[in-house]
Amino acid sequence: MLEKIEKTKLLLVEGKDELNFFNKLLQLIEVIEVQTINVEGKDNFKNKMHALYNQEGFNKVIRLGFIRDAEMEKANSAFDSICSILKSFNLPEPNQSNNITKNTYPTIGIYIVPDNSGAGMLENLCLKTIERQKKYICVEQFIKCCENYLTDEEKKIYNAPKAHVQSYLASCVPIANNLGIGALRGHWDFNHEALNDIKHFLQSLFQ
Amino acid sequence: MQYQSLHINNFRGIEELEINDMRQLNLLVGRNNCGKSSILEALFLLSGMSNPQLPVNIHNFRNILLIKDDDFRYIFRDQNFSYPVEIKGIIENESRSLTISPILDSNQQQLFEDLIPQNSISKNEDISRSTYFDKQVKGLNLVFQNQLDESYEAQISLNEGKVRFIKKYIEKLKCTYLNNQTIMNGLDLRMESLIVDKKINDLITTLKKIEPNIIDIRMGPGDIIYIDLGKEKLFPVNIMGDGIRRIMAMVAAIYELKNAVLLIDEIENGLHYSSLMIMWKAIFAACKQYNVQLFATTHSYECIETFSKIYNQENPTGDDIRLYRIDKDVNKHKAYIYTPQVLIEAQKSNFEVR
Repeated sequence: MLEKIEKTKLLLVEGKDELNFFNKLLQLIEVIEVQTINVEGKDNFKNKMHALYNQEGFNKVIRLGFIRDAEMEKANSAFDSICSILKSFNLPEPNQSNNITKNTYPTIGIYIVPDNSGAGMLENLCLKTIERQKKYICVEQFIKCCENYLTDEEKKIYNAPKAHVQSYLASCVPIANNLGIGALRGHWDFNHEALNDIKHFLQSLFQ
Repeated sequence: MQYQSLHINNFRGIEELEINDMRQLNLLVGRNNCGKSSILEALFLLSGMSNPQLPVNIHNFRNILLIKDDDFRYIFRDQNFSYPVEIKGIIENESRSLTISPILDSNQQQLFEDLIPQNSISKNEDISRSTYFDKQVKGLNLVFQNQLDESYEAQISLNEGKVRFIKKYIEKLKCTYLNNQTIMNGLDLRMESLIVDKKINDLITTLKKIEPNIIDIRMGPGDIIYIDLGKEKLFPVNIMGDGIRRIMAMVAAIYELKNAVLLIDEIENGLHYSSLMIMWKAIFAACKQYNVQLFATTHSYECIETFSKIYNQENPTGDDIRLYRIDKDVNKHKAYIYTPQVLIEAQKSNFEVR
């Protein structure tokens, strides 16, 4: 079955984990009628956006959101990257991340995870929601111990937030093998204040 | 000789449409009645802009016989002669343009005419669809120009049964239009030239991928094309499958054209999925070898899939194909452009591109 643009509100996210996480979050904050689309990697926003823009129904989209990770750089760099894609389609650009365009068609918003400012990714944001749990001390101790055995080569590609997420989820019941499934199973604290900004962004953009 | 862009105004159902970034191999898709065939016709008219017979030919392609000059209204937007047809294109960085307008009766300026009887006005079928009275249209006037050259003019009148050239223009661009109506026309002549030019073996190699028993293709009495399948007798091509005949016709057209433009409407007609792959392989190779630019339309998802798949298999970093989804939203036409990368992305995402 070929996929079509079925809704007038679209949210583009980086991967499968993000798709599951934000679908769950949207459901919890009762923001409905949003079609979440997995762009399959931060480097693929441009091609996926082009394919979407060309699809029948895109001209009826009234709200368009982008959520991507800052990764190793500051949020500005990721924000500029999305803006350059919007520019290439003559679409309106918000003036900064976490902002939403006003009086434009469509209305567009960009949110750079974790906090629209520094480096990081969705894993950092999720970990913030559970870092006060007693169990998390064990996760940190375990990871710290393991890190002692990393070789210099391994250290170059080691991803600490992902390691913490995997270890934490391994301790959860029922077990979840990735961040997105962890979200669907309720292992992240969606009521935590760390998610207030992103909730506010989604509500402002889509409601 | 390759088109880089095309701009259409007031032609058939298209008020305005611009298509840019054209490549050697171009596939047009879109819903029924979005204007795909009209785009091919516009390219055909512009390619042969000095030939006033072509506005008649494009109707023959659709199996419509024009009888009187008023029938020319079919090429005008909303069948209204008030909007001149304008077609512009850029080929190898040189612009060319064609404007088609009705030739009006010299009496059109008079302020009063005999009133049409009331009973005639009251009948719906007698009410003209155009702003001009039918009898006022005496033919078509074609004004065309190449780059900064002076403009030329040609005329056609069906009522008079004449074409008129105001000044002689020598056209360098060649273009052929193939659709269900025309694809087999002149195939015997094309096959003859392939045999004479010793190119027939290339065609046989391609056709062997569909019918491995093909040994040879020959011309027989009465200009009938025969296929040698290694049996006791030769088989007339007309009793072979539709797919093999269509691929034969398309490839032969490319071989014959050379440095030209080929337009194929509903390219997938009569072809099985497996034959589509062979067709694209043969067409890509032939267009490259003979420097032919292709514009084709399709409704078939498999045809689009194989277009992209075969091209990317053979040219992983190539950029010689484009797919255009023609969209008509209310009266606005727009061409959405797919590069090879975007087409791959759309197919990977299982997006509907037709």
